[in-house]
Amino acid sequence: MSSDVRRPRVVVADDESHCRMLIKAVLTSMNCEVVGEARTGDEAIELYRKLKPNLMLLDVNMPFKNGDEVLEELFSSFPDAFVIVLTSVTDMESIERCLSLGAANYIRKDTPISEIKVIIKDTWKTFQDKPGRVTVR
Amino acid sequence: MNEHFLNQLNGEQLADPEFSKLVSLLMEQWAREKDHEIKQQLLRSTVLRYADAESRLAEMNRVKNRFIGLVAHDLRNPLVSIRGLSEILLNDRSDPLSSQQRDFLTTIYSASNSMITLVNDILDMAVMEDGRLKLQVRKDSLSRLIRERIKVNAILARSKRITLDHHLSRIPNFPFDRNRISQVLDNLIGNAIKYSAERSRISVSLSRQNGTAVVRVTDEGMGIASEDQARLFSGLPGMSNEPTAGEKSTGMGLAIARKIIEEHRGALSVESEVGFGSTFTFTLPLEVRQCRAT
Repeated sequence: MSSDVRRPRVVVADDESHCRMLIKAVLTSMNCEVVGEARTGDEAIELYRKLKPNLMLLDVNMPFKNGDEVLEELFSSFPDAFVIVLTSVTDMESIERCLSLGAANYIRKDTPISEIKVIIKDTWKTFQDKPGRVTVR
Repeated sequence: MNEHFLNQLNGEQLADPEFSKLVSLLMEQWAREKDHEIKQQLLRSTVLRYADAESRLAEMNRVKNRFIGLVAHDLRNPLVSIRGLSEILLNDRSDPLSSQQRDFLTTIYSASNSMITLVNDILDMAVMEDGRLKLQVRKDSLSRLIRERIKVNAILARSKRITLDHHLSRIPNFPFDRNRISQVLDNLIGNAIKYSAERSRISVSLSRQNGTAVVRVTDEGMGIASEDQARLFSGLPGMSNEPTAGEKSTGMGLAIARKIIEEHRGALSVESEVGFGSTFTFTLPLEVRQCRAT
């Protein structure tokens, strides 16, 4: 691997620890570095502000603040943020709302791991155009 | 006219024994009563009582389905993590497993995967019974979707050395619910794999007939007895056939698949003979105005 290849830095936001554990393991297997974990929408926004990750995986259904509110607040301060939302159900209305607010894509949580990896990789390819190569395996 | 209606009711085999008793009582009172106005009142009060009971039953059913949805939803997330984490351990080459660990993890993976399928089917049935199934219809390529689902299911087919091939005619993009038709394809192809022996062949075809897309999934499996075919789409377990490699089946998949196709104003049917395999066929209209879309 050449010296200018960096690992994508990712923040995972989900109120359920076992979900965070699984997503973290999937991301690590894809050469990503999970730099922070959030349990609430406010924590997610705070971590984004502090760490400026390349990618955030955000559960749309966390306590206190729902996905719409988090996305609105996040994109108002960081319009270039790259966010993929995690959802338990295929409620296309709420997913489309998230996409219209700026989320790059969505992943249904019961999607098989191999398909989760494909979604992240494909979404990354269409979104990324930063200088210096950041490789997702 | 009222008398004719009551005579009809009395003659029919009513499923509800309580209502059946009520109708018999009403008929006796009707026969005894000479006054026309009192007869009308009798009829009115009976119909109102039944309408009220039906409305309360419908509300209880809605509450039941919402409760099922909530519980299934909370069951599913932990199951997904159990399945995913066991899969990651199974695939981790940096820390080799003992053969017992591998066996245990394989069992955990397989059992949790079956439970996720069951929970998803229960959720879908609750949504459909409640009339809450809403299609998200967009113009898309059915042939591309079929190729994608064949690729995903090929992994399972390979484990039984089953050949999975396709013959897809060119048809234009047309509106359908991608997620739901994906679900139907996974169900039909998955069933074909489950009920087929090793080294057999499954074929998926796509063609166009007038204004309709026609998809067929044909297998060389054990075939379905005619007495089972009638119950195939009922959503109830207890069919004669068992999957050939001990795979699990909830019994609800085909009922859900049929409902999805019917919401698209298509049709799902089967032709099968014991010992000669099965062909499941579904049709989808190519025009959006024919589809019950949102």
